[in-house]
Amino acid sequence: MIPNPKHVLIIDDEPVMRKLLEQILKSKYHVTTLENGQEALNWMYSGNIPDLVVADLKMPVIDGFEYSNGCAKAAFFRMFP
Amino acid sequence: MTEQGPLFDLKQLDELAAGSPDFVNVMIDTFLTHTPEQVEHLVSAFQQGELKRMGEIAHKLKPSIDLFGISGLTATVRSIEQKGKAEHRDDKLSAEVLELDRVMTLVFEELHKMRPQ
Repeated sequence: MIPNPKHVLIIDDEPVMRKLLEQILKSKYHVTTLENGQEALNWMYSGNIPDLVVADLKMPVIDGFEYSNGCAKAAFFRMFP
Repeated sequence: MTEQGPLFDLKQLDELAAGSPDFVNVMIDTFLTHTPEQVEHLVSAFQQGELKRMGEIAHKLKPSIDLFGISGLTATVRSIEQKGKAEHRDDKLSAEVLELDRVMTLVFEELHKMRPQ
């Protein structure tokens, strides 16, 4: 186990790709997976701050572009890649 | 097996798994849980003339088809995706959707057999 692993947020509506990324990253990072940008914004506005976000662009409800714009509106979220 | 060769090839998945059978099994389970429904939705979208939606589903299916090495559908899924995006129904589209449905059904059956009971 890696002490204090970085937190990666994966946003993808395609379950196989979401699971694949989780499987690859989970040995070195703390991983959270969500299905679309709306879920991700809700999760972040609930006080969860990832170190890195890996987001698909084409997703239902709120896509990757809208999610990115939603993050950019909040100064608190502008610092992460 | 198909006329062209093996139905699928897990080489890429095995490489990503780096020797972990759990990794491969989790991915097969995830594939078998979610992908049959996606194929059903693609066929349904085609039958209902919703070509744009059909193309969007093909776009989502494409990486799984590549990951599981279903080489018999590599070109087919891309063709369906492009025709859906262009909302272009030509005389080959019906056969392509039928082929995708046929091959994926065989893949699901074979992968089910590989899973531990």
